Amino acid sequence: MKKKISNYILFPVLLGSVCIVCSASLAAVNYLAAPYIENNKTRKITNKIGKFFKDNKNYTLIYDRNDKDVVDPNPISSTPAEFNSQIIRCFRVTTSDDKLGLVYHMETTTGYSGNLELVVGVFESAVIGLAQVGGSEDGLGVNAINKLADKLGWDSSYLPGDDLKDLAISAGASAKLTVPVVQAALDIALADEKNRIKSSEVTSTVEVSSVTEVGFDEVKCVVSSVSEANYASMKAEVVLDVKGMFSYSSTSIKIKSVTLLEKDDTENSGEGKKVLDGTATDKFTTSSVVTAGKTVTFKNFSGSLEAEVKKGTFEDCAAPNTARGYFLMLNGLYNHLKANQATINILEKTGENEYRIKKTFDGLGFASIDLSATVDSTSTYFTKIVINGIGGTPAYGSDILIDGTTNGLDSSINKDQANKFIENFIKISGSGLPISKFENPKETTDNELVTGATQSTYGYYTALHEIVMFIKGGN
Amino acid sequence: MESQLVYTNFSRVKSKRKTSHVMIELASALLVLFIASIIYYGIKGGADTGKYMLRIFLNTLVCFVTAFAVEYFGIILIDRKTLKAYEEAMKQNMWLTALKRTVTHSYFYVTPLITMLLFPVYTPIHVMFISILVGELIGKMVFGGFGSNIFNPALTGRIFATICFSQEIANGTAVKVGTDISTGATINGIANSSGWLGMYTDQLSNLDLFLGNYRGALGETMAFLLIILGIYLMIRKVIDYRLTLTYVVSLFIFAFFMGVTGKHGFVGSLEFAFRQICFGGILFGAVFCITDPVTSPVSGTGKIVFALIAAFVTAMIRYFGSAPEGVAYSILVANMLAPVIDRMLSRKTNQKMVYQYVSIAALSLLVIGSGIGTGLYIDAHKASEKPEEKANIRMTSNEKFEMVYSEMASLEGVIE
Amino acid sequence: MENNNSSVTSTEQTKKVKKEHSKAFNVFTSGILKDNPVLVMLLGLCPVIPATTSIINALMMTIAVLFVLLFSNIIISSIKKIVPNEIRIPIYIVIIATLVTIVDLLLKAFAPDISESLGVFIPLITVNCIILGRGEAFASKNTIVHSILDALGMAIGFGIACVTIAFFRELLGTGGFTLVNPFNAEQKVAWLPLQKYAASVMVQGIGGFLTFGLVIGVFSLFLKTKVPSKNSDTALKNTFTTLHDIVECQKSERRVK
Repeated sequence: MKKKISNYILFPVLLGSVCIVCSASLAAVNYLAAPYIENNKTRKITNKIGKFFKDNKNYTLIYDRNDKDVVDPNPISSTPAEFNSQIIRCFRVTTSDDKLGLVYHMETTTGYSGNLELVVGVFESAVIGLAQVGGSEDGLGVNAINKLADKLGWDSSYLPGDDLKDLAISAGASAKLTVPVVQAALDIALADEKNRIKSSEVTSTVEVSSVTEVGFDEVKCVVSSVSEANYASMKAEVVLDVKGMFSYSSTSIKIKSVTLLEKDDTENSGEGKKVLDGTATDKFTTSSVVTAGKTVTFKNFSGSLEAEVKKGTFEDCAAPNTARGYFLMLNGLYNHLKANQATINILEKTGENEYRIKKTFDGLGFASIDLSATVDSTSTYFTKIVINGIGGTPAYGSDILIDGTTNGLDSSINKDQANKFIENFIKISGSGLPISKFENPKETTDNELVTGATQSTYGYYTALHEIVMFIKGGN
Repeated sequence: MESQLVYTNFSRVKSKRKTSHVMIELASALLVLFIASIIYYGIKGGADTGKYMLRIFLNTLVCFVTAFAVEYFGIILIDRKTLKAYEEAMKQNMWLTALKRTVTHSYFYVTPLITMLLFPVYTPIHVMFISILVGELIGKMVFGGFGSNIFNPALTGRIFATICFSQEIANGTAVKVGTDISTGATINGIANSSGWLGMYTDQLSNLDLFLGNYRGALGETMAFLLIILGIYLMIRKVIDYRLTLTYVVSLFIFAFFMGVTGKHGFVGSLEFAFRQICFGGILFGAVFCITDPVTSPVSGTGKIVFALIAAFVTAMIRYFGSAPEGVAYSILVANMLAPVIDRMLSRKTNQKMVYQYVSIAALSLLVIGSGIGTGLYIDAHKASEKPEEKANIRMTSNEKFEMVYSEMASLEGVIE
Repeated sequence: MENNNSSVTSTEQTKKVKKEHSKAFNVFTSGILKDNPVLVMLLGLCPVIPATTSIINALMMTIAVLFVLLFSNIIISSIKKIVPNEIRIPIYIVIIATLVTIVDLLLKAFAPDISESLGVFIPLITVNCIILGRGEAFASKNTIVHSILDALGMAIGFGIACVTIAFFRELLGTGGFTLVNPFNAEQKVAWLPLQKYAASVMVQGIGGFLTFGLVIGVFSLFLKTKVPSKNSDTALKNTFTTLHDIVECQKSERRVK
């Protein structure tokens, strides 16, 4: 009888040998297939490039999030802006007529149940192609995005501000969350395009050398703009009318005057001069060049140059570079003021016993206040307090401070507290409101301020407190 | 043998009136509603009346023909052995017998009528066709024909069409003129996006809501007509009053408590609750869909429990779900639970009676409690988005107006 | 005498050969209709729903299943003598898993778009009941040739079931048919006559289950494979064809045994 091999030896030997054979064959197949799989991953994306830019000459990879060795061979400047963290790869494409486009491979943030990987084609500030190449998002959301991808093309491109909401109706709840996430990604791609492709538009470097307040109602700025394009550099002194404004970059601020300090001499004659004088009759000059008697607000200069060009503002201008230079200078001023919000703090004695204060508070929008106070001859009572303006859309502050009543207040405001505040600090009766009431500074958490109108009452109190300190300082 | 007592085929229930009379009365009530909505769209349609009428006519035709065809061939397939036996015994042609049975035993005309009334007036024909096809085939025939179906066939078809064609149905409330869609958002859509606690009386006054003077599905809008028809049918014992009343009243109580905790005051909550049950398909579902005798439980208390469950699910889907209308889904869910309810609550042993009372009490508490909770939740949710100081623009004098106006503009700079 | 013997043995031999041929034939055809793995035995349902969203997907899934089934049957049948009874399941599973991974890698390399649309269901072939079931029930007890035939039959049956379901799902769900070159997804041929009326829910889970159930129902209707219980009405109706006879039978209280 043959000796039977013990089970304890036979079983492991069999299992082990089967496993070895299987692993060997898997390894062989993997070795054969791996390069193809690698290729397929990148080919999926590069296929899309061919689809979006049909007759492109070539394309180069200029950025890979996972590969630090990939560098942009032709950056737009020596220190190009960082790529947004959502962008995985970026290709620069040269079309058949030598224009430049960009293709981004990016991922979105989480929509409904996962994110999406998109390939986005951008050309001349518009998205001309979109495709979804992966991601863990739910099926309904992906369906909606694929519908959008089918609709986008060279003729029907996506511009910033377009409404993608119609896609979200029939696909159900998940598409309502997916579409905004995709829209955010498209906006990121469009914003990044400006950092990669030099616009053929006129550009300039704007420097604001001074911003000085002249009294309570005017601000004088000196701004200079240097550009490579001909006729576009200039330097000017701009006076803004800020009466009643607590911010110097609101789009409704009127530009009182623009006095040119330096300009290219060739602009002294010809079309450029007409534009700068305001005598030319094209669209830009009539709407945006500041002349005496014309009301021009910052609104005309708050958008980007590309947007204005697209709107056709410079269409019929006979001195295009001058106009653009003018625009860029004021646009630069607007952006500067917007980025560097000044805290306004002007306190002046405006008359024998009259003081005026205009003040804004960091982070407390409703607290901004512009008031004038009159004291009696011995400087112990406020005889008159006039509020010239308060910050923000008038809220309970308006009722309490300006009207001095609690009639219009919502039920969520403690009327007793409001009445007490009015009694103590607003109502002027008898010989006046004692200035001693405002001697001590208050914090925003003080319980004498009215909850629900905390900022307004804080601003009011602090303004009067500063006047009192000013008076006491012997002014 | 218990199953034979509980899942009794409706046609074998002993009553003085035959089933066919009941069904014909139900069908005539549906016809009244149908004609009323045709008249409404005829008057209010204006220039598009012709298109509406044509579309309604075509849809009706498609519904009835499809329903008849599906039921006819279904009966032939399912009962073919019996039909063959009849043929031999009574020398009647099999096809004619089937024809007769479709009308008399299977009451094919009820489902298409209900389906027609669930869709808006300008629904495309293919949507209608698929809805009635799926409803009849998968909601009714696959389970064995009339009397054996678990789910309400009209609602099954409606849900299927909603999932596939929601865009077409949403556009179906009015004719598309070129690229200008001459329909506003439905009141459900407004409420869904702007919060369910609002009253929206400016968008849709109470009288308009009651009379059905707004766009929606054909049968859903006319609240007063549905109430009248519902009362009539309940008196004539065509539909069971327990189902309808429980459903409507529990939703009313739910909305009432929601209004109370949502700070509408006592009288305001009554008005709010009344509005809530008047729009959406609640009244229509209560009178015609939930009362289908085949798909609802047989026992009395079972019916009350069934309606309470349906009401609860309707409220949950409507106020917390992303779907704008929860009536169809909730009735289907309750249909699924009907056999279970029957099995648990049908006998009159002492133990089972305790079950009955306990379950009714528990469900009623659930409905009231969730009503309170919903009101609190939606109210709190809304409140957290209010800024600390509300904008309260009052123009009392010209000066102030200018100053106020400029302040509004300056806000852009400060609070960006 | 000798002649008789030899003629007897030769007829016996031809009979034996014929019997073997018919057995092989039976093995092959049973998988296609009579014992169709999906429609009758209800095995391997997991990949059916997602793989039948379009005809091309169904075909590719069938090919993957065919490949795995064929080779696993061959291998299992060839090692059935060596493998002891106690550890046969783990060994079979290792073999099947290897084959499935090979198929997955090949698909990812050469037909990446199909691999994406079939997604996770290619690796799920490993736990597909058809493969393990046929390996366990048939291949480990029969010869290699029979195992090959069985595998082919089962795969063809699976393919027929999948393509039928996919036909209806794609027609109703997208409005027509789209044929895509599996190796290069850009090349498409689409015939979509009903695209405006397509019920998109049919290519999702709901439509899959509905179509699947209806196809099984129609299939069993035409193949009459349902088994009536002993005393049911259907059994009576099958035995007696006239109402008269039924009544007679019930009167005399005879029961069909």
